[in-house]
Amino acid sequence: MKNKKTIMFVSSLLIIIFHLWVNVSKVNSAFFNIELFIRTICYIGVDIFFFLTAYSLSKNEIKDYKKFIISRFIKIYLLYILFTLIAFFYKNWSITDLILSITGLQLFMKGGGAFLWFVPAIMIVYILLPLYNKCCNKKYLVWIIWLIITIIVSKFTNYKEIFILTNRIPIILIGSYLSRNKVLDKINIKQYIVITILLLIIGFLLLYNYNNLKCDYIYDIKYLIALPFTLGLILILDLIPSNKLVNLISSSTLEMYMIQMLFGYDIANELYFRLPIPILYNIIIIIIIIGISVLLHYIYGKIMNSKKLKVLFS
Amino acid sequence: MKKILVCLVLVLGLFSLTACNNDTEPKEEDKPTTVAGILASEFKTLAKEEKDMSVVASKLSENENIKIKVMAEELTEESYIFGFDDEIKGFKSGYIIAPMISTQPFVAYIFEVEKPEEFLANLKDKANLRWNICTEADEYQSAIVDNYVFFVMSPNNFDN
Repeated sequence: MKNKKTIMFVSSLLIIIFHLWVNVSKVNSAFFNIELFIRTICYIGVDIFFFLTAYSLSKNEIKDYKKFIISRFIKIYLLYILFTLIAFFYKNWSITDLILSITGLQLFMKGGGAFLWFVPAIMIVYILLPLYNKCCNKKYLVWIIWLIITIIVSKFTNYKEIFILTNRIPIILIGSYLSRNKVLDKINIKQYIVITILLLIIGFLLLYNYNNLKCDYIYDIKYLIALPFTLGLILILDLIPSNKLVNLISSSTLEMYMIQMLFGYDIANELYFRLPIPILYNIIIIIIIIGISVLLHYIYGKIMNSKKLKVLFS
Repeated sequence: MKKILVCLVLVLGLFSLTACNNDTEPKEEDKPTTVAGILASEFKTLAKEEKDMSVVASKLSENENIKIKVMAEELTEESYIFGFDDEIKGFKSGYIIAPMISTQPFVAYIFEVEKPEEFLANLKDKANLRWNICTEADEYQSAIVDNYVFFVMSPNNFDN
């Protein structure tokens, strides 16, 4: 991935749009359904982050696994625990909610409704993917096991919460495969563009026609239907070089996610009450979320890079 | 032994008297406490007084228990109706009360239909409280007044 920062920047914007966008067009106008469709598919920003994580993790073998996991915990999970504690007080949670959230167990109970579900989910990827890359010789078996378990759980149980993560296993495995085998380095630019265009066109048609498809055998199949378009979007964004602003914002994507989930609706509702002009509201809410996140990232980075803490965590 | 039996019969008689109390005043616990319940109850009151559903939708959208910014708009059969696993068709006219920020798990509809009970059964069958990925409504409630069906999905309250 030559321009990972650009991809991260766009993906984080997609996620803000998914959560906080207000429709600009009126309910019965010709553009309403188009605008709603675009907003609805912005969840693929999450899929892109799963892909990028898998791609980065699979580039080189991780030499010190324990050190790697600890560094991920410090960089990501500590901030998550901090936000969980803030949510405990701000949202008047129970002790049970706090414990379930800190331990990541809420992900398995509430799926996408779990507080900051993506963080425990990505920690699971950090823990398991390096082991998969290193130890699993017959990697195709993982696909088969995933498919069998998905069908059994979809068809014969009412347990649906985990599909928000497990239906991202295919894109994680694809990211890992492309990285380990350096597939993108082996194709020339013409092949790259043809593949990208095909993925975007076919992917868009699939998403537009089947995004709401219900399948008894694979619950929440929309994440799989979105795969071609997501991959096409990743490939085309990788052609766009980043700049200083994009680099700055893309370093704060974790904070952007946490801020929008904890305070986003409150800020958004207050803002919209005062500024009920959708297009202006949309621009300003994005600026606010990005601004707060970049500031938080700077402060958190200063704290975590302080000498005392470095000694503590070394 | 006989005294005990008499006392027992008297006590049972007292209990049966209390059970037959015809007090029709709604008790505190019967009054709806959730946002959806309150709106369904208000719809019943408003729809009996006001025949113009656009006014009813507008008044419902201003209910103080809805602590988010919502819009009340007219629907057609071509409109995108969210909150359900399948398309909703077969209504003559309709109104939607939906949040401006659409990932907030709240939506309410008023439909004018020919067979309200049948239509409502269809809505209940297709309703999906988790129509947004990241958020989930706590419950749905409904009400029928004449040929109008009211259906709402909402969190229990907006405090959190």
